[in-house]
Amino acid sequence: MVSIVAAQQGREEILDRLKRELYVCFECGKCSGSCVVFRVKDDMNPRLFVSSILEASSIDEILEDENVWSCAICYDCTERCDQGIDFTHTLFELKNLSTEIGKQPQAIKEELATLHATGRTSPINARALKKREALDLPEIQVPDLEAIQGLIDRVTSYGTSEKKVKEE
Amino acid sequence: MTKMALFLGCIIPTKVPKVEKAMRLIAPKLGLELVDFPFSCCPDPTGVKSANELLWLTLAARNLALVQNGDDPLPILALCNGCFETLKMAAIKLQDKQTLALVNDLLKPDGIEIKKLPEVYHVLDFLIKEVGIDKIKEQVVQSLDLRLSIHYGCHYTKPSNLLGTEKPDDPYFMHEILEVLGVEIQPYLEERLCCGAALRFVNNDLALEVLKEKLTSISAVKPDGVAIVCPTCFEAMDRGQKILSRKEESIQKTEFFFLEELLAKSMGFDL
Repeated sequence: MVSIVAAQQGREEILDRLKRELYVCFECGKCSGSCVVFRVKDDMNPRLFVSSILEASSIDEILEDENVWSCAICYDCTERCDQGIDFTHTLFELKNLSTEIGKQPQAIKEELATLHATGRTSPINARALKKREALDLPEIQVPDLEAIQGLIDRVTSYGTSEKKVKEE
Repeated sequence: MTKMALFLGCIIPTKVPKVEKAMRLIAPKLGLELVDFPFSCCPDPTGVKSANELLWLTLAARNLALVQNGDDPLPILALCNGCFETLKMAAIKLQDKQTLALVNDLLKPDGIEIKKLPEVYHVLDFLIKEVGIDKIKEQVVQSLDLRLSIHYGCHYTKPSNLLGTEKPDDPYFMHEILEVLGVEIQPYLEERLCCGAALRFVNNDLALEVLKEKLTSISAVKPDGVAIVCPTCFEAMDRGQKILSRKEESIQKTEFFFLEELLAKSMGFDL
């Protein structure tokens, strides 16, 4: 399970693994032909992105590319790759790494903050409650917020502490 | 009656509660008893997963743990593509014993644990595979005089290898149901195209560029509206069309109809 592996691997190991996963690319360009973002943004070219990762000398070098965050997450490149490369997931890993060094977009920071504060990403406000009342809907069941916050804190520190142990 | 855990997600109960209302109205007609749980955010398979995949998996696992019901977990009914994808993918990832052990370890301080993984259904799959088109047909009392285009949304079908989608490039369950409701289906060129929702908060201009491709194609066939099954796609398309229709002559505003809403109307409920 890659998500768990990534949480336990150091950056050099991750780069090596990503390169091994992408090495089978034979540059057919089906990913780029399928990419809805490439249609409207010509520097978001998945085929060339794969090549640049294969040539990169560090994770930080890859994370300099703003297009790490330009994926629409439609999975069409993953669906159509004849070599079985899950490039959507490669980008998820890179976005996770970008977040670790605080380079995530502001909206992502805000989403996580809302999740931590409310246990949801779309908070329950007065307008919502009014709409629900008009429809005679039951009260929204809310999670134990303290438990959610504790869990978020445990998980967020998990990856980091494992990595620290490894890097030391 | 089949007992199921109703997973509403974050957007439906707060922003489009009519979808929840419609689902609660039609459930008994379809032999369903819906049970509510204090779920958290699923969490969303784009933003939260982009920030921290382990956090995404663990919060999803916590939701799966809530429906344990002893040793007989209740199946989950998700009304949103994102919630469906997150919970289903998490349930599949947690089949790996090492992953499950790690996640259970993280959940332990709260006194919860996953013993058995529940089934996760998207409402559309559940309607076709478990309820069956004949039973839906029996409940229809009013034919809908509408000519609608269809948007399934990416996360209902993809990634197909993990979600177990039969025909990811050619989903047809909504087509089958709408035909039974008397809807005339209006195809359009970009039916399978992404709505760009995941990009909105990262780069809204880029999200609108993507959406423009989709909405131009819908506008070209002038339907009475678009049938949908995802509140995230709804938010992206409904808000986006307001901005785009002011700037682009090729885009006219259209109405979006949730599947649950159309079913409720055809079963005689006044929403």
